[in-house]
Amino acid sequence: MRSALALIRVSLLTAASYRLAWIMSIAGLALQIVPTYYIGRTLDPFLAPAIKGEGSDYFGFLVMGTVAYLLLAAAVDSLPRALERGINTGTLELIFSTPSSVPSLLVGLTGYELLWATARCIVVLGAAAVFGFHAHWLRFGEAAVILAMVVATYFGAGMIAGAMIIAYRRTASIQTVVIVGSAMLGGVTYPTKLVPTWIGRFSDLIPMTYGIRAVRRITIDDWPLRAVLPDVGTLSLFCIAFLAAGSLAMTHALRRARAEGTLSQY
Amino acid sequence: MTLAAPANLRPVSSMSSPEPALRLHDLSKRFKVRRSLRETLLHPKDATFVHAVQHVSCEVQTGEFFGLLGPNGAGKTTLFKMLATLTSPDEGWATVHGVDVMKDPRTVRRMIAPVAADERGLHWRLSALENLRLFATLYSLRGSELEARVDEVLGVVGLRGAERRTVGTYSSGMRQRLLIARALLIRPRVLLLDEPTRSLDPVSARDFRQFLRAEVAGPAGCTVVLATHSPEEALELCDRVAVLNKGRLLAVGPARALERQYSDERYHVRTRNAGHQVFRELEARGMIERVTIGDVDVDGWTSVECHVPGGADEAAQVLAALAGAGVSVAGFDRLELSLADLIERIVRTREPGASDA
Repeated sequence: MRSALALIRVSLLTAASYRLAWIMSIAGLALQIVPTYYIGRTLDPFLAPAIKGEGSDYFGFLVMGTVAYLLLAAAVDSLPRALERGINTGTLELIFSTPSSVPSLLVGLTGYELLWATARCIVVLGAAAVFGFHAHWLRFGEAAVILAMVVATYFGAGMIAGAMIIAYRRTASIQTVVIVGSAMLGGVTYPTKLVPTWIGRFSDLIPMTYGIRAVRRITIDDWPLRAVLPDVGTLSLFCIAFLAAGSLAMTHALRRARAEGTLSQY
Repeated sequence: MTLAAPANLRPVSSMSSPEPALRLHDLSKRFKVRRSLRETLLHPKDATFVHAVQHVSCEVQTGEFFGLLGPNGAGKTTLFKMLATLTSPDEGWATVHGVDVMKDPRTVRRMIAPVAADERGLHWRLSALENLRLFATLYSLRGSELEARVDEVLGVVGLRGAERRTVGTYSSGMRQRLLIARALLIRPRVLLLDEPTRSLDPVSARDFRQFLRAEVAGPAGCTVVLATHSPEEALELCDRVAVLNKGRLLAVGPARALERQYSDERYHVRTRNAGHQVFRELEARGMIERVTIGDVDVDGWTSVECHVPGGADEAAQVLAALAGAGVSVAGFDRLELSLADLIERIVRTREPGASDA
């Protein structure tokens, strides 16, 4: 745990040394809420019937979708990016030559990105609240647990991409496929009811569909937790499957890198 | 560069252990050669391998300063990576103070510290202090012990006072010392140094060698394995050296002994009478061979090099014969082998297929 925290601290200090990028990222996100607000308001009359059961207005629907998307992108992309950076800077081999356990190193390498994504979500929610986003704020504890499950699920996908970085130095755009696919078909920016039925079937295979639906129902529509348990249960199964697949892929990739001596080659 | 002695760099407790610091047995590693797409498609089952390390067996004793010599691609770095648990051997085994690198890598990592000459392994936008704190934590140091140890190693490598500067502003020499400081954090029992003075100026390199001998291998009782191309490091620093070529261990021993073994008793004579009859007479009697006469220098002296097959005793007779013939001799020295020549000769004579010298 301490190893993970030390790596998170180093990532924080490194990121903080690029002050301008830090400030611009936060400012850009806060400003992004302005077009989101106007798009939400403009499209609300057309989409309100379709989003029934997942929010009372389209602006709120979009805000929670943005929050989920930020976490999804960080969960999928943080590990492969950190590994790629570690290989290029030569630090990866060195941290793997310490007695710290591999899981704690992986959490440490990605922890900052995930915490930063969480901070950005809070900025989005704060800015949205200024623009009139009505949510059941007391239910955000339960929503946070579901979002954490979404993050864990997609972290499994990130582990597969990370394993490909270690084994092949390229991910074959796995992250892009997962992020874009989940955003397009998982109901991030529009309800999945709107897409043609044959495409909509793919939505059922995407963890985000269940996670974001449960979160919206709890935070916007104030559904009781038991009402969203089917979605949470399905998400749990995805979570177990993705994490298991990611762990297997990572173990295999590290074993292969040690056998081939390619841990530090770039 | 000033390298201060550490205040409390304690001796390793198990110095008296009979187990060698490193034991390598039949250690081998090969890597698959990447093939073109066409070759892969045409012959999917064929594979070509390059043998990075081949059946290397040797022991390094506790506290020993051990040099690894050899041309580029000899297998030195692969050997280091296997000892550091970063690459797994294909055959054979290796132990660090009795612990198998494959069976218990985490314990090995607590005893062994690899230092690559590559400065990329540092976080350049952070200070030296933050770099050291990170690795101290990864090596399970905590609280006041961590801070004390970080301060101590900063003092050891002479970076105290510059510890809050970002590493990006450091010179190459400072970064090299920081890499060493990082390795010393865990009080390693074995230090693996891969060309540590490659980026240092001659004076800093000399100071660094003194520091290694006096403060790392000496009082700390640390075993140091050093891959180097530097003659000073091989001949002056190392107790023993091993010569590797194409992954094979060709020779092990004290560098001076190897140099004596592989040198060919070649002498240099500085004389004003290079064309004197006595040289031809000595050559005819077989006391000197392969005589080469160099250019005359501005003072009128000529360098003559010759092989004296009878060694030092016969060299004395040659010198007496030259003096007796009235030849002016200003210098008569045995030519020492350069490191490059030594490696070349060992490779030439010990490689399979080569005739024994």
